[in-house]
Amino acid sequence: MAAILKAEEISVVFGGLRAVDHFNIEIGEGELVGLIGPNGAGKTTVFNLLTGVYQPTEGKIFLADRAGHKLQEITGKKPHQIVKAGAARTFQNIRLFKQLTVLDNVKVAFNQNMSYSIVSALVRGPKYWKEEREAEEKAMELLGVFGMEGLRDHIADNLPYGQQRKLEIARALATSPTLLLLDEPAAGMNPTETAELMETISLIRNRFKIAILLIEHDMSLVMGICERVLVLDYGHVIAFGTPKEVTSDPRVIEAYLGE
Amino acid sequence: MDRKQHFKACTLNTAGVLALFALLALLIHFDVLSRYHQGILVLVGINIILTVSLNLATGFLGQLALGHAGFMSVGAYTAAIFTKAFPDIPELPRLLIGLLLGALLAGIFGLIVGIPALRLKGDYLAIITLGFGEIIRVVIENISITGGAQGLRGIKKLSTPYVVFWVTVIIVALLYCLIRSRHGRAIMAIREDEIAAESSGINLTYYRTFAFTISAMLAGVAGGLYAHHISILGASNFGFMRSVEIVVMVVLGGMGSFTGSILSAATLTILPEALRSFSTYRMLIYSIALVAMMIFKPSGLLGTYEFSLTRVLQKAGRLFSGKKAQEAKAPVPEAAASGKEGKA
Repeated sequence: MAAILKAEEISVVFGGLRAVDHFNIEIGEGELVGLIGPNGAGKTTVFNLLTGVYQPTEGKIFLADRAGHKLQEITGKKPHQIVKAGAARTFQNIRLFKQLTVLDNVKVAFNQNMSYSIVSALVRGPKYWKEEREAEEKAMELLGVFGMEGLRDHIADNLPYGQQRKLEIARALATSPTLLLLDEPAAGMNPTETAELMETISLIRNRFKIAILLIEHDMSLVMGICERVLVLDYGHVIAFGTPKEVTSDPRVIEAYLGE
Repeated sequence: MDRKQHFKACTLNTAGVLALFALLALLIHFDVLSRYHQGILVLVGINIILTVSLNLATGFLGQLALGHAGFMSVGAYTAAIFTKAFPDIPELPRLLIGLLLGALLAGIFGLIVGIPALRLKGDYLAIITLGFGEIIRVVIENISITGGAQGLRGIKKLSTPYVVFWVTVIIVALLYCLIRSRHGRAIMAIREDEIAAESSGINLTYYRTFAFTISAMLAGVAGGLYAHHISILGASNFGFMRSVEIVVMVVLGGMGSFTGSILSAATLTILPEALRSFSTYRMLIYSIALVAMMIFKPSGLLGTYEFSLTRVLQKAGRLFSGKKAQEAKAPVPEAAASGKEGKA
């Protein structure tokens, strides 16, 4: 299995605090990996490092290029460049383009795959029509995966919570990623919605053939769908293995429950 | 919207604009509009350009800029100096080249100010642009090519109502096309959420600078038209209050609505003229209007609503055919005719 993402010994220091310390991870093609840990363990910081929001103080990050699965270094790149390279993400507290329609939210994410120029937009040239039509078709297809075709003209802010979460995932998928990073996708959802979300996540993985790294506190979700789980505590990786291995690891139990 | 529908809407809008132009031409031809009225109409056009262009930066991109008069003055002086230097070129091309040069220079200034300033957000950007506007004003007052404190005199009155009308129409149409494209979506996405926009693959620096520069360029065009309307330029025409006036027009009309900008620019230009006796209280009324607006309707009069002739016609058509259906089958051409009158 070829690696999609590889992080080597990344650390980040904020003032005197070492938020992430010598973090290593390797995610294979199409793999579903969970990232768990107590509050303040540095999970979201890891996401921010992987997506270029923060720059690591030490270490290197590699991402497979879209075609040849050759690892390319993405350390030091800006978030939009990393998205282009193939890593898309969602946020812990939903960040949608609230006043735009559902369809436009998804279409924004197609921007990087569209190439018509400003002049073409101003005179509405043939390339404008071709690409806009393609983007709309693809966006509708994506919304269809989440059963949201009927909501295309709704303002994103007016959607119920669960659907806002789904829309955010749809938007991330619209950048055609090879790796999808989900930051607490089930936060604030009730058990039924969480179960539904689990199905959706495995569905998108199989359908789009992408690797997924997800942060989650809902253990049933993590243990149910993740193939491997990585446990973080105080910025250190304390365990990495199958859900079974991890739950029986004494260090993990200690981190969560104390001695 | 597919291409066929677009073509229909395009024809319809062209027809609407032509009808409006015909109305203007008729009113001027039969002396219904005096020179004074025409002057006000020219100012309405100029203010519309200023307002829609600032709306791009403030309403669509979400960056509060308080130096629009500065960019306007760059365009005004550039265009005026050009037309004064080349009196042999026929009038219309001379004005248009002047406007183009004015836009170009204002755009360059926009780029120079924008690249460092757009790294900052909110209040900081407002202060930087405010500072820029003041610097430009002081510079203009102190160099000789602009006529210094005495002002630039003897600029030919080339901004006829017709020219201003067409320039305004073209600018509004182009801006509208820009917003309804991938570039426009990127700009609005940045307004909605910068972090999410960047994580959706939008290059923040590029689109911020782009929208700000376009905004500055169009302010330059408005400035050029203004110079050739009032014929004497003084730096005091482009003070801080001028910038604020444009911001008021944007906010009042609705941040993110070109229709709102057009309406509020027209209203706030005509109203003070109609109420000349109150002119001392103008700024007072503006402030009260703004405060009231922020309390009762913070999104501005129209929010992000855009007027659509096609939509109006469809509604009118439905209303019309609904009524007629009881008597006979729906007549299509009549419905179209009634809609055009509605816009004019």
